[in-house]
Amino acid sequence: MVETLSVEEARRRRDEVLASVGGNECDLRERAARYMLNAEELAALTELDELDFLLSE
Amino acid sequence: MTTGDALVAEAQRFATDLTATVRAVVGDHVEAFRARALHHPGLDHVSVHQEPRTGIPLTVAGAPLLNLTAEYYCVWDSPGQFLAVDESAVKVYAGAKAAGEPLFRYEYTRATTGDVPAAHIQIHGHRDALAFVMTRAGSGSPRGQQLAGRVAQGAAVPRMSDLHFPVGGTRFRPCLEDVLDMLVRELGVDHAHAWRDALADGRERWRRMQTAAVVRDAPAVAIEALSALGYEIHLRDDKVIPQDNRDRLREL
Repeated sequence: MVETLSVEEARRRRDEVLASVGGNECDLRERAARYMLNAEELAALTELDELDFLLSE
Repeated sequence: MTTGDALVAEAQRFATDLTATVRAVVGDHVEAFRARALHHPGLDHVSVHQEPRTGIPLTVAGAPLLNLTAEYYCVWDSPGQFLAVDESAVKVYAGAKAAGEPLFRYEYTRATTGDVPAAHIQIHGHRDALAFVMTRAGSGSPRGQQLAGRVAQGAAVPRMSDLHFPVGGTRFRPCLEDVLDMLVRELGVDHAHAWRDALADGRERWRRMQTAAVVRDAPAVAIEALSALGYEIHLRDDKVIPQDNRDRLREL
């Protein structure tokens, strides 16, 4: 239930998540600010934010 | 146990507690919360989140009307003894999956800037009278100036969700159990048989933990209260009288 990540694994996972929703993070965040994300996009953005926290980035 | 092992153990415990709380209300079919830990010299961070990522469906009379998400970002506290929540967000959406705009959200940011309450609720609704008042927000506060500037530039219409309603600061903020309790009582969310006791148990655990933290914030007050109950309290000779954490006591 606890997934332990290295910095490299967290960065790789971040790339995968972003690619899964088209790869344009600016567009994703801009549409998030207007609450226009579908469930999968919102889930992806939440995971990006989580990985950024874990990486302190 | 290494710092990394302790981090994983604490993350596991926290995720297990959250899973038990949600299952006690929604049912045993709910997926377990998952934790992620990144252990690196000088960087010990943990996140805990619900599964699936698209949120936990909540039913009313069997129909999936609402959806709950809960995210926690954690770090070691200053003395490095406890896993402390650095940021959290509990959000409720309409519909079977979390998408678009939430109905409301409870959020917490430990390192608050002062303009926004550390613990707050944001309600995503609309009321003309409130929007009107918000268009007049201005020179009185940094947040008001920010909002008035956006309105003046035509960049934004004031939204109720721009307001952060404070809910008790770091120590007295609501817990996940409070949100679930509200959803059952106010919105009729379907629930398991023993939900009430399970939430009360979780709330008691949370408040006992926070009580210990509050005692550390204001030890003299704790001594006064315990002395009134008949205790005699002495500081060990090898210890220095601890100072109040006034910042914590005074924060919004």
